[in-house]
Amino acid sequence: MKYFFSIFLLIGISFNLFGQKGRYAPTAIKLGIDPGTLGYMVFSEKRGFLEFEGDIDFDRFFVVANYGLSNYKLVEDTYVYENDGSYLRLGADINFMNKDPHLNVAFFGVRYVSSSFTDKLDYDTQTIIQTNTGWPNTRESNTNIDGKANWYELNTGMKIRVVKQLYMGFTLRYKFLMKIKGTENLRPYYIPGFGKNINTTAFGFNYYVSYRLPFRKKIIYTDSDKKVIKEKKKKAKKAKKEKK
Amino acid sequence: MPAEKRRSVKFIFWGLFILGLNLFLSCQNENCVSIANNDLLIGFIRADTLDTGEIIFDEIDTLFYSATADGNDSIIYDKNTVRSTFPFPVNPAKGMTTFHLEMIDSIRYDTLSMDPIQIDTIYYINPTPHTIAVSYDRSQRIISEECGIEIFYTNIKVEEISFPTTNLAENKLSRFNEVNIEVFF
Repeated sequence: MKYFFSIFLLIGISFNLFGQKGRYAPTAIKLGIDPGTLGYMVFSEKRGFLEFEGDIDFDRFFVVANYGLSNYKLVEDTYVYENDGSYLRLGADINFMNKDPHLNVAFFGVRYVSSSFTDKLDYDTQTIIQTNTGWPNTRESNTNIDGKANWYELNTGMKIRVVKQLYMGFTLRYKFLMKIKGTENLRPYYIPGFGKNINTTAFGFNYYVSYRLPFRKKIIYTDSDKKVIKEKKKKAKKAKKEKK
Repeated sequence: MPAEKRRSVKFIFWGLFILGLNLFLSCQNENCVSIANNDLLIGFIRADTLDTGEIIFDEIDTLFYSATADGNDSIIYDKNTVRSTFPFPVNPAKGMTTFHLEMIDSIRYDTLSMDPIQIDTIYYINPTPHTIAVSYDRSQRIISEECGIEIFYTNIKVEEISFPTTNLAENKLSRFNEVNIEVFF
C-alpha cells in the first residue's frame, strides 16, 4: 500500500512537471516489464517474481521506478522455506547516448530500494549439518510477519529501440549497504528484489521490454545545435545592448 | 545513425549483457560452514586456599551416576564418563531445558576373590540430586540449500541452579566455546 502511495506521488509530481517547457521538460514515459520474470513464474517451482519498470524522460536524465512482486519456496527433506513480498526501487539515471536520434539509451544510475516480506521456515530439529542433537527429532516452525529490508544500488545498462516505440534492454545492478529489520529470530534466506541474503552486497540482472509513450517531441541537442543556440543567445544579448 | 555506429552499439549491448549475466550467475556460490551447536558446556571447578591465603581454581574431574534432562528419555551421562567439562545438549524444540544431575560422592572397591580376581565397585551417590535449568533464545538460518539450516542459541539465562556458586561465562552456544557455566565446589 505504501509503495502504491509512493508511485502515485511520483506520477503526480511528474504530471505537474509535464506542464514545464524547455530543455529539461519531460517528453515521454517508458513502461516496461522484465519478461525473464514471467519465465520464472512459468518454469521455476522455487522462485516466481514479476517486475515492472517505469521512467520519465527529462532530456538526458530519467526518473525511474521499479515495482516487483516476489515469492520464493524451497522444499528440502529437512526443511521448507517460503517467502512472499514486494519491493520498490526509486532513483535516477543519466543517459550517455542523449544525442542518439533513435533515442537509444546507455545509462548509469542510482536507486534506493525498499523491500517488505513475510517468510516462514518449517524445519527438523535434527538438521543436515547437525544430525545428532541428543534429542528426538521434531518438526518446528518460525515466521517473520513484518520483515523489511532496504539497500542502495548502482545501476548500468542499455535500452535499444527494436521497432517504433518498442525498446529492449538490460540493467546490471550492484546492490550494497543492505539492512534488515523485523527478523530477529529467523534470518531470511531470501529478500525480494535483493536475492539470497548471504552478504550485504549482491549483483543483480534484469532484462526489460519497454514501450515508450511520447507526449511531446523530444529535441535532440547535438553539438551543432548547441553552437546555434549559443550564437542565438549572443545575438539576442547584442540586440538588447544596441537597443539600450 | 550510421551503420558502423549501430553495429558498435549492438556489440556493446550484447557484450555488457553477457558480462552482466555471467557476473550475476558467478555470485551465487555459498559455503557450507556452521559454528552453531546445541551443547551447553558446564565446567566443574574446585577452589582451594593455599597456605599463603591465595585462592586457586582447578578444573576437577567429575563423575555422574546419571545426568538426564526433562523431556528426554535417554541418559546423557552415566558413571562411565569422567570429565571436567561436560557438553549438555539443550532442547532444540523448546526455549528452556532442565538438567538433573546425580553426583557420585565416592567410590569403594571391594575385592570379592583373589583367584580369579573379582572386584565389586560400589558408588556412593549424593542423596540430593542437582538441578540446572537454563532458558535461551533460538534463531534459525538456512546456510545453503544443500547444507540445510543451523540453529543459534543465544541469550542464555540460568533460571534455576542448585549448586551454591556458579558463573555464567558465555551466554551463546558455539563450537568455539570453552565453557558456558562454571560450577564451583
